[in-house]
Amino acid sequence: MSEETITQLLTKWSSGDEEAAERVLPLIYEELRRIASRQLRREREAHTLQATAIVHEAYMRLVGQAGLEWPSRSHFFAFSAHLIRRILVDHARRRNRAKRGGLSEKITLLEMADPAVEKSPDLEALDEALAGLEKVDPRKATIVELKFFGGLTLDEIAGQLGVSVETVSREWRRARAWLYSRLQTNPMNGA
Amino acid sequence: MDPERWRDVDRLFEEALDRPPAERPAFLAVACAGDTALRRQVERLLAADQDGSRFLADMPGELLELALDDREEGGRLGPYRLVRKIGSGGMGTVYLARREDEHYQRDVAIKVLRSGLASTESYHRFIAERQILARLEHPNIARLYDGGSTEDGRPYLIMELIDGLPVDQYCDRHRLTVDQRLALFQKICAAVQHAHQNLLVHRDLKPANILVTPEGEPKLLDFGIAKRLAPEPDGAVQQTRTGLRMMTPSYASPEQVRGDAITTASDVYSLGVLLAELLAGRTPFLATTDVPYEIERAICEQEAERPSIALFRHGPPSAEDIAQARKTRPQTLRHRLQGDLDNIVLMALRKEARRRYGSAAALGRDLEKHLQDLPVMARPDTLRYRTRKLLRRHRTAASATAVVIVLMAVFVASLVAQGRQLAQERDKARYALSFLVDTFKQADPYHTQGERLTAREILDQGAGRISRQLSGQPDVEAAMMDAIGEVNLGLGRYDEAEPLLKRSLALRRRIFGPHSLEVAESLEHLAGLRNERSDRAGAEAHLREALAIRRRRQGDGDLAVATTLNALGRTLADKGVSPAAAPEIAALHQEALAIARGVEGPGGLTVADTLLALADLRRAQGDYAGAEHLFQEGLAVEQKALGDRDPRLWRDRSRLGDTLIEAGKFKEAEAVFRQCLEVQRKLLGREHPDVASALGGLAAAIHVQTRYAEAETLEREMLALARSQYGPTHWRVATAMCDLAASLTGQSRIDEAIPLYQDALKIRRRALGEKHWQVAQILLFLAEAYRHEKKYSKALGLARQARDVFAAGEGPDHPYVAHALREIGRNYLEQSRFAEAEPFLRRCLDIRQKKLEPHHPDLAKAQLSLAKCLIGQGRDIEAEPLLRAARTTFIAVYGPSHEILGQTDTLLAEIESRRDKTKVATGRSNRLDPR
Repeated sequence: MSEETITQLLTKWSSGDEEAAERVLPLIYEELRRIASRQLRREREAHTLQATAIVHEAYMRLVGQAGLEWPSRSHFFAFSAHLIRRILVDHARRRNRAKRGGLSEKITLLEMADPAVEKSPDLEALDEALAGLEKVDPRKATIVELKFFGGLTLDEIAGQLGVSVETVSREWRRARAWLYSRLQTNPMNGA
Repeated sequence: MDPERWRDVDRLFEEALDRPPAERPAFLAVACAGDTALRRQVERLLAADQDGSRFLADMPGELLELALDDREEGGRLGPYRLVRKIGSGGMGTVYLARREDEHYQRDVAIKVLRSGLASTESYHRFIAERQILARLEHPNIARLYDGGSTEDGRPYLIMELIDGLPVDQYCDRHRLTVDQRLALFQKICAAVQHAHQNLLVHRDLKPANILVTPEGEPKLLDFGIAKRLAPEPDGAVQQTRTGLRMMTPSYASPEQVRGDAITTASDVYSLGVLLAELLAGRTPFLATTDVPYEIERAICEQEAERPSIALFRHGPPSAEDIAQARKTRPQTLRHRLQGDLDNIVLMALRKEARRRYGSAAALGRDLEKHLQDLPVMARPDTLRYRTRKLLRRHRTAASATAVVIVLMAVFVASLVAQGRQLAQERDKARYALSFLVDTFKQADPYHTQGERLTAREILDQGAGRISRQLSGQPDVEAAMMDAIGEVNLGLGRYDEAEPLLKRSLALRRRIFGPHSLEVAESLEHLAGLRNERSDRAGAEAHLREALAIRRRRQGDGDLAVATTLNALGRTLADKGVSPAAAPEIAALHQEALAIARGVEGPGGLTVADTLLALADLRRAQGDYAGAEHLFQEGLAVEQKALGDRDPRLWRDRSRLGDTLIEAGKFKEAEAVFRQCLEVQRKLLGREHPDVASALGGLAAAIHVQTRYAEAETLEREMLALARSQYGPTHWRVATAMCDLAASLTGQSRIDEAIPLYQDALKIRRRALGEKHWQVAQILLFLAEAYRHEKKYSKALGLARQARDVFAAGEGPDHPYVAHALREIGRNYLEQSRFAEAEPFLRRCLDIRQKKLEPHHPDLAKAQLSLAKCLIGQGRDIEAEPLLRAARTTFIAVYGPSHEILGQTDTLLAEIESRRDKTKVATGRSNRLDPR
């Protein structure tokens, strides 16, 4: 898949073509994957994947380098963050289904051994809670998506949303507390 | 959620966050203005803000990696098509792949290195794995066929596809027995050994990495983080300390957790964890938490728990379920694990790597030895141990058993003699002796019912041979005699035990002198024999002599003195606790208590034992409330010292149950016995004497609640058990007969009851003589039975006889005397000889008022009988308050619908109706028909 195609689709999308967005999604997905893979090989010792790095690189490659007039950087970031959310949640859903189905999914070494993974929230439950938040307070939901799934800093988010860092920080804190309380009361969640 | 509502909540939440925590409650109280739901929501968010400050802080990159890797499915690698993902390991993802070309078709497993791990270290390790695995050829290790790289440069391995279950699941699903599990585990050991010989440590042995095929062959997978032992120029050093992050914590050895050098011993350790799980269904460490750090600390610091004990750790799964998956019962499984298997697991799990088995093969060999009943390495090679092995090896061959055990006894004896000559090692001799006792106790019919005859032969032959063999070693001979005598005693073979114990005592007196501790020990054992034969005077004399020796040799403050004091106190109490005798007995136990507290502190076992002895004394004196209190105190100490799972605790708890019955607390007693039974059956199996005792107690508790038919069933079971275990004339058989007869009497089946009582009486008379309270007890039971048959003169004679025995032995105010008095009174009562009944019933009531608590059912029964007697004499006014008092007690004890309450109410109604008639027909003379 050539980058031109992606660029073209992105251009269409940026000018309001929703169908272009549908078609560009799998392409960006692939691109994100490829970027992730490369980054991982570069990050020799700390083989952890930073969502933020992926999103930034994808933006640079797909938008910046292509010389594309991307009307809203925030649009792209939000889109990428949303994509990463989908990737993760789909994966979590598959895993959860396997667990619930009683399939003896082999516990991976890394997952057992790594507290970060152990402590990570139940993404499926988080996704549902976030969907609830979207309905009543879309801005908070966006902040969470950008911050957690997109890996953006509060500064960047403030820039994207055109509000003060102070506001983002305060909203983020309240959104986090709300999600936390939702996931705590949900017995299915492992967080 | 309603957006408007959300805005309110969010706004208040924000405003609350702006305030210092201390001011928030006051703020919310005002701001929420009585909307408690609103307030609760905000409070919850404030709490979440506090607790969840790290929530969503970082998105773990690994999650994203794993998610991205998912896309591999359906793709192709060289000639292979990835069919589906079958697992993801630390090094990558494993796929089921199929090769399909015109020549052949085959399924393989392909492991693709995870993109995220393409770092130098992982990469080299992965390459190493390919090289090493290619060298490994073993039927129990998954084969490596080939390797390669994906287009984007990720290495992959093509491996044998194993269709199997993780070993733990396999064993449980097929309900493999312990032996079958061991056989499987030995194959695993051999495979690990093979890898070790190829300079390869697995480092991550766990059930998920050991699959078992449908044919039952274990296959080791995932030498994924294997470390090569041979130094390699490329990156070998780096690899030394990298195991931890990759390791599954529960199976990691202390050195892995600490990040120290990993050797083959680390695999031995992991095998130990696996073995513990396969055997007992539980990890050897009490995982109180899922937090990896805590697990790691437990691995480094906590002592591994013996599988035989871990089995009973609080489930799920329950010990029952675990045993079932091994086709056995928890108790049998525990016995199977105790000893060798416990020791083997613990040796594999030692914290210091060099003190474990030197290799996986050594571990496997030790299991082999265990299976063949040869001595295993995992245990100090004591004399006692080696010979016990010898015995066990031949135990099943019934015909040979006796010969072998005798040979063994001689063998031990000669070793003892040798040891003594060579180094005068008394400890060694002790070992050998306790071994002998243990050995014979294994042949004890409680444990191996079917082998009783053999055991008896063994003992007789053993005794004879030892005496011939050891005549030149009088001290050893004496010790052997003592040991075999003790075992005979335990088997209830008093006639065989006596000459042995006596001879031992005589020998020891001669060798060690009359004031030696050896003599004291023999005296104590002989006293045990006397006690069993109810020769209290003889026992008392021996114990007093032993006590004097111990006081002189060990000083007044020694724990052994306390133990002997208690034994003496118990013996005296068995003689009788008349008011004259009781103070001395109490003083003996009090002295023991002071010694024990001095030596052990307040929580020692001897302290507990002494408190229980004091409780028994109170109970024998008829002070049931005092006894109950002391039992509770003693049991609390015991429970603290022993924990909940010690059979001794439950044996003693059932004694509390006996006391509760006598205290009239029938329902409490029933509950205590039921609980004891449940736990004891789990701990001891169904046929242990302690279980039989608790069963008897339960039957009694049910009997006194007048549920006779229910009691009868249990009592028949008891009687059969007692006969089979102790022979037809044992005192326990007599007790069981009495209990059953009493339940039959309760159901008015007197014809069946009387012969049972008579048989029991014969047994007790022979064992205890005429003047014993237990004999008198049966006389009283018989009296009751004859009264039911209206054979009053016979009944009266027996009841009087019983009263005299009780009064002489236990003192005139003892509750037993009251029982006899009431029986006498009832005989007169039923013949309408009211005036003659009255003094007996009054005296009965007096004693019971003095001795029993106000709501004891026996007190109420005395009141009822006396009331009947008074009514019979036309003295309604005196009878009425007695009836009312009895009524209250009956309701409390037996409930509102019991027959005895009906009797009471009928009598009260009659009194009232007579009173009314008297009022109506004033002036008429008081003419009352007593009937």
